[in-house]
Amino acid sequence: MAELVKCENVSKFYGKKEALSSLTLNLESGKIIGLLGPNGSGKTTLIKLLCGLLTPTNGQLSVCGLSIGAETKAMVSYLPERSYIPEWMKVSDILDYFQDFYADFRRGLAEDMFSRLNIDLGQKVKTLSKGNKEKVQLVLVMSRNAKLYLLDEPIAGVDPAARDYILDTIISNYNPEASVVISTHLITDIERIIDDVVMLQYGHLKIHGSADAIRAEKGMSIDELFREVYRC
Amino acid sequence: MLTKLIKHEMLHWVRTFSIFYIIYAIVAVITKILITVEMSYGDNVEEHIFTTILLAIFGFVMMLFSIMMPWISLAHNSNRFKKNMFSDEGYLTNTLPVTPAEHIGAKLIMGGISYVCTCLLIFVCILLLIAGVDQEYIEMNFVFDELQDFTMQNFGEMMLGFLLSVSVFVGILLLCYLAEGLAAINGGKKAIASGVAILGVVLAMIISSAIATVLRANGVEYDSNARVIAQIIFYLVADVGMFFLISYILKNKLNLE
Repeated sequence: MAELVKCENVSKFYGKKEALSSLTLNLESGKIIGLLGPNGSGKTTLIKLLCGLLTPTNGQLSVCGLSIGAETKAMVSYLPERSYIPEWMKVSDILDYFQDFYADFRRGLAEDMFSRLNIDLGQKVKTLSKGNKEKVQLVLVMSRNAKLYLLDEPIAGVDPAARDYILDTIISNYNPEASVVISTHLITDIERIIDDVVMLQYGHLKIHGSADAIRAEKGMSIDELFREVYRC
Repeated sequence: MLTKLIKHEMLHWVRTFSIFYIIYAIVAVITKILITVEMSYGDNVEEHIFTTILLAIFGFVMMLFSIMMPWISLAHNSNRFKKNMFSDEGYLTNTLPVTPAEHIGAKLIMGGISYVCTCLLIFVCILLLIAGVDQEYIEMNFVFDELQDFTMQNFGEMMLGFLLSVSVFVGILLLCYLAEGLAAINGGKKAIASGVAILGVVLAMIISSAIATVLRANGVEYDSNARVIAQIIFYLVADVGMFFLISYILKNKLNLE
């Protein structure tokens, strides 16, 4: 498997607070990776560093051997945990936007998913419900033929039916040669789909390995392991 | 990518400002009609008192629009930069495969286009107002008198003045961007941003007067064109410096928490 993401001694401070501490981590392509940890463990910080929204205090990060910049952003498809689409835009406007900026954007696929979700392309983003806004963002992100998908808490705060829809959308639309990093603390829902596990605690790497190997070695599910590792 | 960014900036600008421009043009046309009607009445004040009041109102609205529109355009551009780069929308903007210089460049170019279009519209509307108006009527009204003087100025001087105003406009925009950028990397501390903006303006004024003093000491006191050219060069150098500083902040210090 080719090395897709490389973090070398990456640290990130917010003021005096350390969010990531000398993190060294390599992620391979062709995997669905569960980025797990409780709140404040550094999951979102790591994702933001990889998509260029944050700059590391120390250390080096690369995607496909390139330092984070415009070239890596063309290969990374990022789903933040908040709504980022300008409210004044129509759904068709945001499709035009993605089509203009991302060479790997598959507009037909996105339109097809919107049609199945009964989302009108002429509808303004501000008139969409919270759930539909999240689905629009997910469709946009998964309609890209990216090399790395970074999904920050994609299933947090949604009902179980929506969770199933989101996870099915991820599995059926991602580029199999790419990697998908899913950050969450809802392990039960994603356990069935993840190949690798990265567990963070207080900004440190706690566990990293194949999900199957970890289950075999520890004799428990990832969910059970999570509860044991992060027991209060 | 720069052209694509400009395209989307332009779409947003047209969507936001077209209504202002249409209203301004309509107000100019109505004012022109009122001027024509009032001129046709001659000295019979009682007959055209209503037209005079209407003309005063529309003239005031037009003057207000003429003064405010370039500033509204500047405030809108600066606010859009802040919103696009440092608010939730930044999660979309800053993950585009675009360099920080392209982001700033696109917004500056659009700010420049918006400023030039606004000035052109104001100029065309003013020309429309004074076209065919009696010299006597213009002289009675100091505003129109000033306007006519302005249009009669030497073309070269006018262009220099225009270039100076564009370089100042771009400088103010960049100063706003810089203040927003510094506020963002300092956890949104507005005091720092305001301090930088005030310091920037004060510094620009000091250096500008220093240039004027140096030129005066070198015997170019009465060559106003030389002074304007020196000011344009000064503002352009300051603009380039600020451009690279903002690019550096976006590239190396961006922290969208």
